[in-house]
Amino acid sequence: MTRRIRKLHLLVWALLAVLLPALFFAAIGLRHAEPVNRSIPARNLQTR
Amino acid sequence: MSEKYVAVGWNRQKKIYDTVVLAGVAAYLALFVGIGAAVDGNATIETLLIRGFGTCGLILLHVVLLIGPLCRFSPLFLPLLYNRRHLGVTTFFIGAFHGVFSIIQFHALGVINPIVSVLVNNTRFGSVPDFPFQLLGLVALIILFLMAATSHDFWLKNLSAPVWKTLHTLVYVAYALLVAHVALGVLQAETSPVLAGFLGFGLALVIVAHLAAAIRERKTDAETVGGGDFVDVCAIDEIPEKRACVRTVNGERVAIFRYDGKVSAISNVCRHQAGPLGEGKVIDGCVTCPWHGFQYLPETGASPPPFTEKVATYDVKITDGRVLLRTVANKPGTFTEAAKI
Repeated sequence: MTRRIRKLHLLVWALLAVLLPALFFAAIGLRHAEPVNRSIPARNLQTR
Repeated sequence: MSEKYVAVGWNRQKKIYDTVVLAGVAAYLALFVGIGAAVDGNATIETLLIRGFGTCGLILLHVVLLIGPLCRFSPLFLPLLYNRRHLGVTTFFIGAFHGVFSIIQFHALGVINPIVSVLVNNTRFGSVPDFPFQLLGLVALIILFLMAATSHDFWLKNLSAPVWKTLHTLVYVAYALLVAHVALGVLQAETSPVLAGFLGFGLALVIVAHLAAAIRERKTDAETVGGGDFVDVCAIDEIPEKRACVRTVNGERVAIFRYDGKVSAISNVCRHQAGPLGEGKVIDGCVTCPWHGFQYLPETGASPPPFTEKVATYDVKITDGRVLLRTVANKPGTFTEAAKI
């Protein structure tokens, strides 16, 4: 009975081990760049 | 193995567990709001609570997901597993507070129903940075609600253990949705590496723990023995007193217990939540499941009266210090004489 659940568990986590890190890095890599007002001198920009 | 329905079968251990969890949540929220207000003077109390409940729920979900695999590696974590359902229900409520505060903050002041607003206000499904991430959180919350609502032995018994187990594996889907909810939501605006670092660390921890546990279980299943009427499964000396060794016979895990100068074998799968009986011990003459304490008599596989749970038994005999096991299981609850050492 539990063998089926164990197989499902391994399959699900093998899948998530690929999908979730891919999603995580894609989400960070593709986020909007912060807009920059080039008319303001760099020395006057507040940085976080 | 309750005789009658009770909402929560309170005992001292459960009260301590719940007190620690609720005190931990309260302390986390107080610290988060206090430090958040000091660091970011522009953040309103509503915003801090939304962030506080959100991060708290995510941390709790990581803990819930780590308990199972950690118990496969060390029995030290079993006390956490005993009341894992309480932690799961707490996670749902924390997530629900996060959702309700967010809906009030971002959707309640318009002319359309706030829930409808969540569903229709953003349809940019093709964009990563503008993805409607709130929908992901809503679906995850619905899954967590289903799990919290059925986190009771009443539902476990009525749905049957396999159906209940399968339903509760939806927590993995909820987890994936919540990782996406955070990655496509707050991480699109929050460029500080702190939150991304924590999420990445938690994600790596959960994935590695589950894969390691799954691979370890796969190895145990691969040790299949079978073929003849009786098979040699182990030496008597391999079984510690009042404990068991677990072997896979014809695809089924069997727990072979040694106790009081005798050896008996029963199915390794507890009728309650499919817990590993072979990792439990014999207490007061009964095999006791390490997960929630369900008990079975080793010679019959039946729970002592008035309880009615039964597991399959196996015929055993001892020859030259070796334990031989019949490869075909007896029907659950069938008496089989223990082999004397």
